Amino acid sequence: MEEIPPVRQTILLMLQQEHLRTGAKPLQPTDSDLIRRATGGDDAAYHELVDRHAPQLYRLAFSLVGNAADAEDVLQETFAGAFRQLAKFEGRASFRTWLSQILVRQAARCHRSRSRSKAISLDTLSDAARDLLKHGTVPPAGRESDLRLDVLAVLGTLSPDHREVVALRELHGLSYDEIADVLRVPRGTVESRLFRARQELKGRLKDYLPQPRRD
Amino acid sequence: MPDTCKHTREISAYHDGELPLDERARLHAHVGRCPACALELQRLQAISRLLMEGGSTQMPADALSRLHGNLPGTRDRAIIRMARMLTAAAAAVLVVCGAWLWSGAGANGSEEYPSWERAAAIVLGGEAANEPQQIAQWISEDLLLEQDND
Repeated sequence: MEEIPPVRQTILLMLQQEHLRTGAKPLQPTDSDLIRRATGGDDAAYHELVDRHAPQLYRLAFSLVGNAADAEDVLQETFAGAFRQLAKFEGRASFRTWLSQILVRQAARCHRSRSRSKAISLDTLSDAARDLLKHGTVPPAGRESDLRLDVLAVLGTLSPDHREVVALRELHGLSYDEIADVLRVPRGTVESRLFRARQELKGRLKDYLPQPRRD
Repeated sequence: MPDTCKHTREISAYHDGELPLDERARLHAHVGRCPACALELQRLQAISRLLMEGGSTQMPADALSRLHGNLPGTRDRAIIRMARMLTAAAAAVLVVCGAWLWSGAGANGSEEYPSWERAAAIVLGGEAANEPQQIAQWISEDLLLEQDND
């Protein structure tokens, strides 16, 4: 990683002072800044990278492996692997994409090593999920765990390839190009996998989805 | 109403905002006219809502703490701390052993050797006293001393 030129350092300092003076939110270091600091031996930068990315990655891990204990293991392995290789990170993709790539690999490994849990029947979707699907009604507070189980049940019915692409798009919010980078497949493959996965979901959830008007 | 349309497949990319601007505008106009594509869009939106609402799992605070505890720097610091403690303990053991040898065991041990043997080991002017006559004299002195003591 290259050093920040003195001129850029001065400009950054001036901008930060200006932000402090005007009461605006101070400038956040970029991922590249933090990576540079971390590889230079600044331990605090590692912690900042974790704080920044862990919550989102945990969500992705949870949706891929289906339980909290495995999601945490996958996340630990992801950061351990990423930080071991941090000096080799070239910045061709974003750091988030790179972390997601490692996480998806770890989750697939975890999934293979665990015995598959029994598939959950979609007949038992909670009322909260039914209302949300049919009428777009956001469930009242306290029903989040019902909905979480429903989503795990829904994702659990998909093949690993389809589950990955749906989780990366719907839960992680990645673009098609980013998903292609994460999964190391062409963009066209992402589009077709996502289309087929959605067709599958529509088929399974057809009773709860908006119906055609018969007039 | 027909359930499918030749544009249905494009609705997925349209829903994700992944179409180029011109195609997006064209499909937007199409969805307004085509009930099958409008329904497809509604269904995709419903599935996305379900996944978004139910997939927003919060990371437990203790899981985040454990993650921080396993970071390279933190782990290195713990190893260094343990190494320092072990070094201090080893140094303390060495000091105690050294003191014991110096005061107790060292003093008693020297008395176990007769004076001629100790004298023979002393370096005189850079060379050991190894003249046979000198040594014989020391031995006889030592024997006389023992007789006197008896």
